[in-house]
Amino acid sequence: MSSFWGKTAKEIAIIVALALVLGLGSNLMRSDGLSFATLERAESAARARVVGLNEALELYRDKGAVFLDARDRDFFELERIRGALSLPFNGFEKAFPGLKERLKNARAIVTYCDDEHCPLGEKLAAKLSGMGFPGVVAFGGGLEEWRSANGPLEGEEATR
Amino acid sequence: MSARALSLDSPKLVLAARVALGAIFIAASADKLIHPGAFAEVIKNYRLLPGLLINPAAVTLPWLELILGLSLVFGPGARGAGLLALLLMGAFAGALGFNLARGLDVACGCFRASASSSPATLLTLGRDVLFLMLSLFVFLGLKRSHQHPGRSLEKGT
Repeated sequence: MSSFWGKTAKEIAIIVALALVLGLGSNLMRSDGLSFATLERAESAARARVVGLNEALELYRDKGAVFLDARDRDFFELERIRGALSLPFNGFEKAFPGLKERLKNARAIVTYCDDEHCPLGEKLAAKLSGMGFPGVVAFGGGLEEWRSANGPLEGEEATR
Repeated sequence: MSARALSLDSPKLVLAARVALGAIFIAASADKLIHPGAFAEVIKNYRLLPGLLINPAAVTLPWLELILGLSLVFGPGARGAGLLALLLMGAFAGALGFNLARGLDVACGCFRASASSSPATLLTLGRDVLFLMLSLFVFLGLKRSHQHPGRSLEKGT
């Protein structure tokens, strides 16, 4: 009886070892092999850097950053940071192709949403960073903080 | 055909079940061997493995299925392969059942490595349970033939 389990365990060990060697080995050989660190990197990229008002204003005035409005298009039409482009997080695939070239040439990219409670700005920044765009940050305070600091606005309902 | 050949512990029946189970595992491995990235996405959607283990599992599991499938069909290491098949099918059915119970719409990833294929249903779980029973039948058959070598296929028919 014990010899059965002993032999079975030995066979299992050989099969598992073979699978590990062939699986990991073939993954190393193939050009589209998976990286075992990919997920870790993706997770850290998912936390895009969030900047405050001062840094956002500096990026706006001095560095010619492209500002991206992550909200839906309707809200963008009503009021937005002056010069911002619309790239709704919920509609990314549709809007992105038209902005791709512009973003490729951007020296810095700042995303924003309504206020600190809206996660779309950070999500958009994380997505763009993950796609390989350098220098993408999210302005955490969003349109509300921008408005209260008298930052330049435009749109159908913009007061400044 | 004798009554013996029809009984559930007939060595011929065990051999046929063993070959069928092996063929199932080989068929299941093919698409995943070709598309490990898509299979990793399926594993991730199951939300059971920690992130660091997803990619290593996606590249080794299809090979494990292929090797144990070949072993079941052609013989060498069949007992180990039989027990591994039983354990794997138990894990697959358990993972699928757990996700169905908590309401997650996951693609099965059983025979196709695509996360966007239609989500697993109770029918998929039923199929897994059938395969699990087949694995149990094969393993018990292999165990029996070890305990009673006189009833192996060569001598027992």
